[in-house]
Amino acid sequence: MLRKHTEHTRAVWHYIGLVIIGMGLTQYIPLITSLIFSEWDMAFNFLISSSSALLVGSVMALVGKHTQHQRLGWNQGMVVAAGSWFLGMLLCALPYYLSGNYLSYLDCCFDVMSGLTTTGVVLIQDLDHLSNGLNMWRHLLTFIGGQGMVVLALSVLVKGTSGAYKMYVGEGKDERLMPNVVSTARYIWLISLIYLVVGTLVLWIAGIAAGLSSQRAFLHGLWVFMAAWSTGGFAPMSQNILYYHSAVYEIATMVFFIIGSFNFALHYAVLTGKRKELVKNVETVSFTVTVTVLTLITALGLMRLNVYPDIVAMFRKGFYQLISGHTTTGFMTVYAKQFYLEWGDIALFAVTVAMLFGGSACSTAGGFKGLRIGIIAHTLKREVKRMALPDSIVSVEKYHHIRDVVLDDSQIRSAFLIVTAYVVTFTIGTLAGMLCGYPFGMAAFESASVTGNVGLSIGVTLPSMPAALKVTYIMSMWLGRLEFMSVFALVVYVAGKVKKKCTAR
Amino acid sequence: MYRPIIAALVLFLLFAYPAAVVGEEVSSSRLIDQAKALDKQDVIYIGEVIGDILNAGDHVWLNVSDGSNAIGIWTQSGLASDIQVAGRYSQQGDSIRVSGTFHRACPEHGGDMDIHADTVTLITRGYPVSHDVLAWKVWLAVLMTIAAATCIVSLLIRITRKSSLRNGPW
Repeated sequence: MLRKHTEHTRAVWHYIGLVIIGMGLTQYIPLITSLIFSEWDMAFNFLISSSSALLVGSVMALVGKHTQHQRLGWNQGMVVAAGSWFLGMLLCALPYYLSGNYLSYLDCCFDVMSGLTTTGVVLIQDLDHLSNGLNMWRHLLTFIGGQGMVVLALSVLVKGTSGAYKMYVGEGKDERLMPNVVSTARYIWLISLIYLVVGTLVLWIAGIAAGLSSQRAFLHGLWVFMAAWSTGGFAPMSQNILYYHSAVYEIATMVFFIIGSFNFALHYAVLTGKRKELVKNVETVSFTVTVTVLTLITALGLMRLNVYPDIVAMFRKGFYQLISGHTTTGFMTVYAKQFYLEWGDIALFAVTVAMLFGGSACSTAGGFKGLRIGIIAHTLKREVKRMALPDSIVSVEKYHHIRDVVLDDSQIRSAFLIVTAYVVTFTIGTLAGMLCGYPFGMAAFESASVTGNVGLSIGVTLPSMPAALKVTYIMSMWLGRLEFMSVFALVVYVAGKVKKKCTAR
Repeated sequence: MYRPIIAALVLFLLFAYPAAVVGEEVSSSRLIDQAKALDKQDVIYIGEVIGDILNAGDHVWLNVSDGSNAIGIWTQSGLASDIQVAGRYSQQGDSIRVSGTFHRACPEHGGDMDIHADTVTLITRGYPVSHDVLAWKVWLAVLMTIAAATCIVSLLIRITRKSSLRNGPW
């Protein structure tokens, strides 16, 4: 029994080690970028950081090498996912720290978690003078985080499929596009890489049209696409998308982050010829309804205060911010403080709700997710029907998600459980913000943004904010991205280990 | 008798007149915080040109940072012909002083907060910035790379050996 327990622990270490090796290897991309642009100092920073990750990862993998073919249980799969993200955060923050662009290691960890969870709020200093290598790393983190770092490891480093599905689910994804999870992980990366090529090309051209040089337009196009597709919200300049002063650039990013917020199963269905899925799927239906309603509310709020002079400005500012929030991207074409000072309560309410609703399940987006909102709406419909119909009639409620699905109690329970967990995390974040001295509106907006992995900021997230609030937001981002269960599994796992040690003493 | 009037006129010309005609010097934080009050007012804004000079036909966009935020400056290409260096990792950008009209939500540019500049003056030319490689980083990188390579090779050998034992020689 004890031996089996130790083997399980070693298996956890082994798989976390493999994920960390994957993260170490990916640092060669910004390292090569630094070498290309003669950023020698940054190149050494990446060499140190990459080697650290490879060292830690390989030692962990060696510890559990005998257990590599062992089947992982649900608990271990979840612990691997959450543990990889936590250790990944600590190790991936090293190049940030060595660059000198941060005030503390906590700030570096905050930005790494913000990147990996595709949130997009930042504590970096002097972003406008950042090296190309570090910019590549920031955007690569958000691109990997969107697809999932465990998904990356499963695609490349894990041969066997035993326990792989549990790690995959632990990272907040549960759709099986292919017969096995490793093929599914590879397909997710294939879809993302195809879009990466197309998206970079489009934004490259849009960048040149906006007045950038060819080389800069390519780099910006690549980075902004990575952030758009991953619904991340990072941008290479401090003004975010406002920097380009280009309607074409804004529309192109909008298209990419909307597509990025769709379920990978929907991408698979459309790419395999099932185009009707786009209009039938419960998530696209729920997204269309919530976007329409929230756009009307935002427009009403902005028009009431006469914030923007015409319909074009309303679209480029009001709608852009709303849809960016709803898809949990966080790209901005206004300054953070403008939300608080100009937008008014009605528009802010709509954006806050949009951030909580989020994008689709099994996508790069965060939030409650369209599938759960759809399930809750259908549950409401079913209950109303039940009340209206005679007791002798049994009504069956169905919704369409890739195929017709009969609504059952387990789906309802799961949807309500996750939505409740989001609301609780959002409430704790709001309370923490208020305890740190921010007014309710600002605290709620920022908390919705970090819990839903959005990245829009009202001006709370600054290097000067209290450390306790930074830790709270890191936790919110982590919980929100992994959808709670795997982080809870990790906490229980660690608590169990500590308790065992105490009992042994 | 005319002395007080002349003195008042001199004072007006010295202080009030320039402020009324070319605006007052403002920071980016003030522009954002007091956007409604400063909307459509003439202002003077000083900062570093960052990133890129974005050509848009006979006009250019300059993004100018005063250290707190960067503000978009829309001006005629001819007025910005002196601007050559934009701030990046390897260079400090030109420091400039612009005077023009501030827009909280510019109707010409899709609601952007910007300044339409009438004059652009170069204050300080930008210059290259060097980032020296520290010796301890070189040594640490070498040591860490050797240690990591050893562990990775060891892991690969053990995994390969285990696989061959499991699968047999064929």
